Amino acid sequence: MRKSIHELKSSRGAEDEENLKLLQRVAVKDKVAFEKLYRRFFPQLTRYLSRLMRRPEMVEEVVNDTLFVVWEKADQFQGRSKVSTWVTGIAYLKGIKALDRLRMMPEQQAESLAEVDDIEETRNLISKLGLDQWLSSGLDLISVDQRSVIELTYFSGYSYQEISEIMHCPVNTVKTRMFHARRRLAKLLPLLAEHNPVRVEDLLQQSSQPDDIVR
Amino acid sequence: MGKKAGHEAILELLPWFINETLGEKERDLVLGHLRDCQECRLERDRLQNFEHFVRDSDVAIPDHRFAYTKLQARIETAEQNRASTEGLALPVQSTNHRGSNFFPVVGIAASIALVLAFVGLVVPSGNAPVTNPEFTTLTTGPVSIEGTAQRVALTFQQPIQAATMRKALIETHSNIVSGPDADGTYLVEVQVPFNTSVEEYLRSIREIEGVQYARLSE
Repeated sequence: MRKSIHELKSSRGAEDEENLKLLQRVAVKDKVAFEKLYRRFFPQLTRYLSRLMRRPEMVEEVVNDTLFVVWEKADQFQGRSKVSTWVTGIAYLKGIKALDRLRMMPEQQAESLAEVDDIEETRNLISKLGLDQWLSSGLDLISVDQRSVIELTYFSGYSYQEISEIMHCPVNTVKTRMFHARRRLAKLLPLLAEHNPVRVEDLLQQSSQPDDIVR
Repeated sequence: MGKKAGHEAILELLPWFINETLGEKERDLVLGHLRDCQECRLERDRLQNFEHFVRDSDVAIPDHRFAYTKLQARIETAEQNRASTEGLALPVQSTNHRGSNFFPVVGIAASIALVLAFVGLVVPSGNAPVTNPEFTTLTTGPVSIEGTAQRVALTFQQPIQAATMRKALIETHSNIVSGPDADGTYLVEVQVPFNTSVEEYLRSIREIEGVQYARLSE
């Protein structure tokens, strides 16, 4: 028999314990608890979905779609993962669905952008944009699933096991997506190692050498 | 793990070595390998810089309140539709609680009038008379009870389904203040009607399905 959410106890740290308490209250439709949970998750979901979708105008709607599911399904949380992992997993599925609706299939998007991925065009791009925006453009060169792995690893600090739960895929798929993302972003990595926009030209020159490509 | 296979596997693990989420065994493997492998050390440094950059890069986060208001409206509509579909009373009306016979609940119009009359009043807990408590769920509206606010520690039977617990909270017109604690007890604020003693009131709460125990909070 499935455990009720009210029987669950968190052993995954103070933050998860607090999230679980709020979720237990949301399960009985406590709107005060829901607003607190919303406030907690709004920034991280906004950031994650902004990175994942690259469609700022859609992010708020998808954040709300996600938290609407949390409101509706809180009583079905099983405690197999952290609350934040569960919520981010819902956000991932909602984000993918929203992109799907737009017929913006992630791989197609990545491929079309990859066509302009030559050194001269990249150089022009960087001279027009700041480094920050260039990272953003660099992330456009990888697929939505690869971006998701990058964001969840480097910004959200999830383990690869947690990412596999969020993205509903095996851990090896997570590692493969990270591997491909790193390979595509290889040109970006040496540049970021220097962290200095003035030397962009030199670094790009350097990054065009095969040895700089990881694996 | 062969030397080459080990090297490939370590390269693969580096992102999670950097974000410090590897298990102890994998972390030790990576550390051991990094001592001997220049290529992996360089890659670690690059990824570390990349991580800093990803962390530092800005994504504009708007104020949550505007978005929350929209979601709140959506939820209220969904709840009202559900109540209509299931043939239940509408949210505000549902606070009359069919089957709940220990509260002198007044009509909706009177509730609204009282709420309006008491808008702006701070309602302290303790013995102050309270006439406009609002049960803080999105699916019930304000309900008027002439009584005193009391904080009660409410323990539910285990296991309990969310629906049963919710029903109990609605029947008691409880606002959750905090909880659950380690024993699954919630601190709730209730209104004890003027014509009911606290003991009598607590006894009636204990009779509600799903409630294991109710006592005044210390």
